[in-house]
Amino acid sequence: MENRLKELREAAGYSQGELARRLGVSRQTINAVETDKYDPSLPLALRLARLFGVAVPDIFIDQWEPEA
Amino acid sequence: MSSTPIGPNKRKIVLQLAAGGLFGFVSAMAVTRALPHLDQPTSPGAAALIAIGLIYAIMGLFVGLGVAFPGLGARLLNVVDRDDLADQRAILTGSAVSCISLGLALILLALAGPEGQVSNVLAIGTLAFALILTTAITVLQWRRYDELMRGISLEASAFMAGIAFPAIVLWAAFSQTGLAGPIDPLGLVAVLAGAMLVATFIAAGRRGLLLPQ
Repeated sequence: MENRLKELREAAGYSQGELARRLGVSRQTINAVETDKYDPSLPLALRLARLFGVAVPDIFIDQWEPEA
Repeated sequence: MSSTPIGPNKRKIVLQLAAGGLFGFVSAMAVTRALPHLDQPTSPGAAALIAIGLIYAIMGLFVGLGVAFPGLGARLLNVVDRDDLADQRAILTGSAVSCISLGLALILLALAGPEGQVSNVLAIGTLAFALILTTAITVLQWRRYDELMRGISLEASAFMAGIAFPAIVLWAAFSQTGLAGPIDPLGLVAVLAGAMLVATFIAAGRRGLLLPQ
């Protein structure tokens, strides 16, 4: 899923390793999310949102639209 | 004439490929010399199992060396730097030990048998030890895994079934209709071990873990 994680992380001045440490995951997980190779679990998405002080939809961009 | 400079990532890939190829060649030669009858396995299944066992053992040795010598490991393994390697040290060490012990056990198994070149007790003992060790490491590693690694591990298991099942069924079908030789136990183990290897690479590759870091 498209996301703004890299942009938010860099704005906060975190390296991938530092962000991973704060969230209790591996650096590979952060890298995989940033490169759209992995969609994080809901708990991790919520932690990311809380850490950056934004809402989950501000990080992850879902293009889905409900059918009329 | 101008030449495009090779960036750090490309340099690292070239270094990893060259080191992997050289290390694999030297290791394979060393094992072949240490076991003079290695080139005369008793069956195609045994030959396949020796090849798969060598791949496991060489991969494990490569990772183990990288962990033991972080400066070298940071250049040869697919990690960002020494800190990244240090973060993954426990998981990489476990993987290295698992791969080496399983690889050696598979090779010894292929070389055992009624007219084998190694004793059956040694082969069975090593295999039992490797299976117990690998199971224990897997359980311990599962606790250390984060959600990405757990997902990759589960995906790899699913891919393995998806690869091994049709391969074995097709082999049985060809064997039954006389188009291929009979399924032999060592060949079956080689298919399963090979499928696990391929499945793990596919699962890790899908999540970008094989991309240069």
